Amino acid sequence: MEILKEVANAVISGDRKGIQELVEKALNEGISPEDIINKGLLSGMSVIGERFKKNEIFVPEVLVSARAMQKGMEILKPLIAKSLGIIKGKIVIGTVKGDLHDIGKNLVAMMLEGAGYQIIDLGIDVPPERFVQAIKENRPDVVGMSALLTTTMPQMKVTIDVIEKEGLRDKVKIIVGGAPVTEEFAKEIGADGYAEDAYSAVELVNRLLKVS
Amino acid sequence: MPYVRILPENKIIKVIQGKRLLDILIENNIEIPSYCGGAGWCGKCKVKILDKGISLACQTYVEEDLTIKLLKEEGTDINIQKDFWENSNFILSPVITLQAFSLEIPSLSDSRSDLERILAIKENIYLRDISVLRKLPIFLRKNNYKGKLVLFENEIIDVREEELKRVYGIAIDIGTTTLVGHILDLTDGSDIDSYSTENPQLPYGADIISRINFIIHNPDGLQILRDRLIKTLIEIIQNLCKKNNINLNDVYALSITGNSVMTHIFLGVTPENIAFSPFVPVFRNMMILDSRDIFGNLFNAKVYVFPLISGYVGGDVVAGIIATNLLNEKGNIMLIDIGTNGEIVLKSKDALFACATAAGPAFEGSNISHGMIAKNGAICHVWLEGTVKFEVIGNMEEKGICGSGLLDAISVMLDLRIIDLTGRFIKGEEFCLGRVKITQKDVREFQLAKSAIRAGIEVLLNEAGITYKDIDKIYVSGSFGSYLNKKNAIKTGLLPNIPLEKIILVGNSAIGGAKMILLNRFLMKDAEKIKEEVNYVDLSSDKKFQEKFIKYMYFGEEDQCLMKEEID
Repeated sequence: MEILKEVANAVISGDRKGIQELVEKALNEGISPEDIINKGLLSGMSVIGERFKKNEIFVPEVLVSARAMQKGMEILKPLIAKSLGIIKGKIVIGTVKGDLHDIGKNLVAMMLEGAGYQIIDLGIDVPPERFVQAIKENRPDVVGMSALLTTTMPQMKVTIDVIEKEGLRDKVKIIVGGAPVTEEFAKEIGADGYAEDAYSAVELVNRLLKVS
Repeated sequence: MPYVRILPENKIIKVIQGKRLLDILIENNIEIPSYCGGAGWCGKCKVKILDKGISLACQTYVEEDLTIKLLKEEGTDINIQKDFWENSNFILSPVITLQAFSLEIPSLSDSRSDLERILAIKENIYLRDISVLRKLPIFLRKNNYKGKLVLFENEIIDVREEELKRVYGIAIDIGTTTLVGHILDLTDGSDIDSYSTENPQLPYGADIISRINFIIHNPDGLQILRDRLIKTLIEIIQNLCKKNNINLNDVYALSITGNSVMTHIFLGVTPENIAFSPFVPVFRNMMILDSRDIFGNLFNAKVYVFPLISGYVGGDVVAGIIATNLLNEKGNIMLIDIGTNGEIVLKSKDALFACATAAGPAFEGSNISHGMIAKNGAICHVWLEGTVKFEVIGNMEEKGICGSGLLDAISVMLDLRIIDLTGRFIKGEEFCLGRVKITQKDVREFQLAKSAIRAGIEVLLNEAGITYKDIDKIYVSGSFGSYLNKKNAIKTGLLPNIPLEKIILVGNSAIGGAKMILLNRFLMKDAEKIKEEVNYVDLSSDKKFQEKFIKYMYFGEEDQCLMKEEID
């Protein structure tokens, strides 16, 4: 279907205005919202993710594309609210306490959203208690933590310990990321996974939740 | 490339066209005084340009062959200094003064105490240091009640023999990467010598966050970092004295400037809370201490420590504001200090704004494949002249590339369309300058760093309610301050597109301010005023900053496209 390709291309080129018309056009052609999301918006976003991973494009392009994707989602979400089948999983995400860095975490959130996950973004400077509260309220499949500073990295361990103490550790998968974070560090603090960039984060979550 | 011939030495130097004369002289170890650090207002770096007359080296850019004559060598030193004080309203009023005295010899009819006799020499003077009191009875009787008081403002900090003519001060900038010291004659204001060396804390991390991290994770961390620092500072002080035949006992004032974390460590106060939101420092006030409390009994001086503006805008920025005279200048003026962090100050109308961008250490060479700081072996300039040419500091084989070299290299890569306006390699996968390579990842690191600085500039302009078109002057200081190619800074989007003559490179402005405060005691009050008046803008929680940070990540026209994206 030509129109879905056009939707995907609008995401890839970050055309926020164009995407609105294209999504409406697709709906008028009788294509289901699920198909527009999966075969249009998300397939465009996965091209962006791959290009980013290969260093072909940079942060701004990803964000511009993600914004275009979100624009499309805004139109389609109300139409699919009842059929929850589209959501692959729920993810609580946030930057740990003491750390105000936003961009990397947002990128991961957008990529995951683009891959079909529901995101509960707790924002920045998130204390362990807020993570715990969010787990209790939303029952997510995955909790993602971000830190950009070597000084705030230890907060990831603190947060995991609090989640454990609350008896919630086996209810969620915990993933970590951020510039100073490494695979070894993730293992050391008892996280379930580490991803070095936003696209790898999607692959990681897919793997952990055994979805494709 | 043009040549500069320097008289009377008759030294000939090949230079890059458009390079500033002051920087050329400094790099070639030609002594030239510059009090304001090249800001253009102290009038110290005057040279005679043959056929053209007297000119300031810091305001002269070499476009063609020049023959210059150093005025200092003509024995006109005193005249220049006189010009300097007169031209710039800079009054030599050092923090340390000598007060000669010749006391009435005690008798039965005048049996005032030794101290009363001393305190009667001048109004308002006082004595606090008990060691001076202990010295007094023997000194007075041995020297026939004649001598000189050494005063720090009104405090008597020593009594010395009548013959003492000169006293000295040392200004020190504690940089995250480099320590610099200057020794000054406080009686005539001359800058005698300087010495710089690597910060001995470097093995514990290139940036302040990794130093703090070391302190957090090691019970003795603070002590270790401080001990190393103090030991090296003592070396700098001893070296400056020994080299210039100056007795350590004649050094009576030290001014210390540095970023907030370095200042905390210098005082042995933990900087750890600066690393976490809400980024609270332990103190912001200026400190005046006795050198014995810090350096032991090595010498007896007053140590002035610059006040801090915030956890991320420190005493080095306060000193920079002093060196560039921002407090008193009219118009919209910016000071950008590009080091491991990028601090930006904007003076607009009567308000001062400041912010710190975590530009990351990319400009100091970290995170760059072949990056290094601006020292011997670093590629500091790259340009096109038929083929790609580059200049290495120290005229040796290239070992790596420093911030200014990277900026130039990126600019050349854009010209040659090796990378496109998004920063992506479109020809090949790396760019080679001799043995030095620039990779895709390096370009990305540069983009992040330049965009952080540029976004910070724009946020401050916003705060002041003006745009880049309203900027009257941008002072650029820090490691970039001597080597930056202005055209390339604009081309890559690091600086906004303003006329080149409005961009002024000032070298290390922090040490400039630290020197000036030793020579003009009124500046201490200015420093306090700066601390109080600067509006600190925290970028880490600023949504506008994040938007702009994304917007300025590309080069040239591309960011214009994204700009439209932001507006709708």
